[in-house]
Amino acid sequence: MAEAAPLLEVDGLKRYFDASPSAFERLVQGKPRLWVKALDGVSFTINRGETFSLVGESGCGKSTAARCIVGLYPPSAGAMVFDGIDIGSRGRRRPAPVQRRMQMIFQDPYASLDPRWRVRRIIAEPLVTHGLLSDKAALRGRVSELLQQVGLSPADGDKYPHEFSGGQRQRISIARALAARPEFLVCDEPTSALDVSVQAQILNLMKDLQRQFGLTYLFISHNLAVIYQISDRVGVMYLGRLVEVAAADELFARPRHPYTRLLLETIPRLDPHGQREPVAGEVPNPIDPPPGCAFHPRCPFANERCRRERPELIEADGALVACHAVAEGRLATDPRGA
Amino acid sequence: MIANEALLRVENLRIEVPTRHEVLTAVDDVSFTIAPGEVLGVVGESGAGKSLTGAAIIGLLEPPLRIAGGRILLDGRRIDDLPYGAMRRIRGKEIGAIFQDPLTSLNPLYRVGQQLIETIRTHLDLGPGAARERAVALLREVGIAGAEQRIDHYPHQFSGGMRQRVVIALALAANPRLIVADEPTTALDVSIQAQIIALLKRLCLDHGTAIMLVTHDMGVIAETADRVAVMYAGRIVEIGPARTIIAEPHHPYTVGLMQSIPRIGGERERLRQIDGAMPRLNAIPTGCPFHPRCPEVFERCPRERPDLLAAPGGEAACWHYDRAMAPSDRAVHG
Repeated sequence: MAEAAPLLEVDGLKRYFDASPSAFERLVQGKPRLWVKALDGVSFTINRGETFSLVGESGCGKSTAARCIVGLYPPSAGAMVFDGIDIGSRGRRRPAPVQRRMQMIFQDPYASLDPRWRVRRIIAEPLVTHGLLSDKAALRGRVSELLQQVGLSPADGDKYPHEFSGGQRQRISIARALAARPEFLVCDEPTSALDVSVQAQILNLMKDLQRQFGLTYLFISHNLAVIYQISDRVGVMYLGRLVEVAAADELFARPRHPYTRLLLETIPRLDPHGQREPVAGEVPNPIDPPPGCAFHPRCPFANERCRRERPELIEADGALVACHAVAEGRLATDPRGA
Repeated sequence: MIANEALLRVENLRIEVPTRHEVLTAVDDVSFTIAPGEVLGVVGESGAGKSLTGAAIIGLLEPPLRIAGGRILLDGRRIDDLPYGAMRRIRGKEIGAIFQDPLTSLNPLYRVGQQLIETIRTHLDLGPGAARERAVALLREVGIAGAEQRIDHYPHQFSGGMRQRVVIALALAANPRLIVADEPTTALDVSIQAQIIALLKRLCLDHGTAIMLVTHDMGVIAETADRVAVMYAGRIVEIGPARTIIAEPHHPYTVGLMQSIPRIGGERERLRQIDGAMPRLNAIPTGCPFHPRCPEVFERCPRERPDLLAAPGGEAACWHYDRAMAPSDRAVHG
C-alpha cells in the first residue's frame, strides 16, 4: 500500500469566503475587507480502498474541504491531484471523465433528492449526464440493479422521494452516487440526519459496498463514534486547519493533540451518570482566529510560543500533529484504555 | 399518597391526527409520572411520538393534532382541558419549555434582556427594576459571562451554545416546577453539549425542578436521566431506571436500539442493526407494533397488544414478560 500512489493528494488547500461589508461601507466608512478562512491550508492524502475521515466541530471546515474536492467550490489556493490528474486548477472546468469517478453523498436526504422526480430518474441522472447508457432497457436494468444493491426493490424506482423514510432516501442517494461506477465517494455527514438504528443500517451498507466495489471514501462527520466505526485514517480539524492526522486505532488509543483529547473527553458516555468533564470555551470566530495556534485560548498546555507562532503538522511517533507542546515533549502522550 | 408524590401525571394519553381519509393515532395510551426534582428521559426515533407527548404537556399541540383521550395532571390538577388563556398562565410559570433550535425560540428583533424581563413580569409580580435584576441573575446562573452587558445584546450576538443558555434562562424565568426540554442539545457541538447538560443537571438539583427530557441521543440520556421511557410507534414500550434501560434493556426494541449505537473501542467490523423501519402511522401492525422487526416474535405478538408488564427493574410492553405465560413459552434473553 505504501508503494502505490495515493488516489487523492491535497496540498495546502485554502478556501476563503468573502464576508466583507458592502462596497459603500468600505469606501465611505473605511471598513476593511473581511475573509472567513473556512479552509486555511489543509494537506492530506487518501489511499486507494481506504476510508479517510475528517472530524471536527461545526465551522471547522470539514464540509468545505469535501466540497472543494468534488468541485462544488473552487479552491482559493492549493493543489489537488486525483489519480495523477490535476483537479485543483482554478477557473477551469473539470473534465467530465474525471468528475464521473468521484461522487458525493449529502447529509440531508430530504434536500438532496428532487421531490418532483421519480426515483428511477434520480438514479439514472448520472448515467444520462455522462452519456454512459442511452438505451432505455439497459438504463432500466441498471437502475433496478442499483436499487437492489442498496437494499431497495426495483419496484421502488417508480415512486417519488416523499414515499420513503429518511434511511431509504439515503439509500437512494447512495444508489445515485454509485450509478456511474465511481471509485471515490465523498460522504458529507451521511448518517447525521438519521436515527441510530437506521444509521447502523446505512453504515453497514456503506462498508459492504466498499468491499464489493473497492471504493475509496472521504467521510465527514462530527460524530466520533461513527468515525471510529468506519475509518481507516482520521484527520481532526479545528478552525480550518488539520491539527492531527493518524490511523483510527492510533487516534482513539493515543490522542496526541490537546484538541483531539478534548473531543474524545466530551463524547457522551453510555454508563449512567458517568459524568463527562465539561470543557469551557467555544470555537472562536473564523473571521478573526486567534494568533499562533488557533486552539490556544482553550488549551490547558498553551504557553507564550503557542500564542505567537502557528504550529505546522509534523511527524510525532506515527502520527501527524500540529502542536508545539507535543513537538517540544511538554505533553506526555495520553494512553487511554479504550 | 402515591398520587401526591408525582408532580406530573400523564394517564392514557392519546393524540390523534385527522387526515383527509382517516384519523391516525400518533400517541396511543401513554402513561407516566415525573416526581419533583426527577429527570425523565423520553427516547425514541423520529416519529415515535416523543415530541408530541411533550407538546401536549405544555399545551402546544398544533391543530389538527388533538388530544383524543386520557388526562394530564400537574400537581393533581388537570391541565389538558384548560382553556387557552388559563393554559397560557401555566405555561412559562409552572411549566417551562426548551426547544431544539435556540435561534427560533428567541425573537431576533428584541434584546435578550427585553425577552427575559417580559417573561418575568408576565408571570411574577415584579417592577421593571427588580425584573431586570432577576434577568441578570438568571443569565449569570446559566453561565453567561458579563451578564450585565450581555443582557442588552440581541440573539444574533450570541453563539449557539450561549443562545441555548439564554433559552434555558427564559425557561427558568418564573421558577417553574417542570421543564419540558425537547432535544435541547441536538443542535450543539459535543463540547458545548456537555456544558449544557451539566447546567441542566445542576439547575435540577438546586431548584428541585423536574425535567422531561425528550431526545434521540442515548448518550445524553445516560448522563442526565434518572428514569427513561422508550417510545416506539406512539407507545411507551419500556420504562425504568436509566441504569437498567442502558445496561440491561428488556424490550427487544430497546435491546436493538442500544446495540445499534456506534461505540468507541472494541469491534469495528459491523454494527448490529434492526432491520426494517418504524411503521408509518397509517400502517401500525396489529398486536405489538414491533413484532414484524422483532427477533423474538412468537405467535401471541401479532394477535394481542401487550401492556407494560413488570420486568426486572422496570416495565416492558412485551409478552415475554407475561407472568401468566407458561415458562416454556418464555424466551431466554441474552
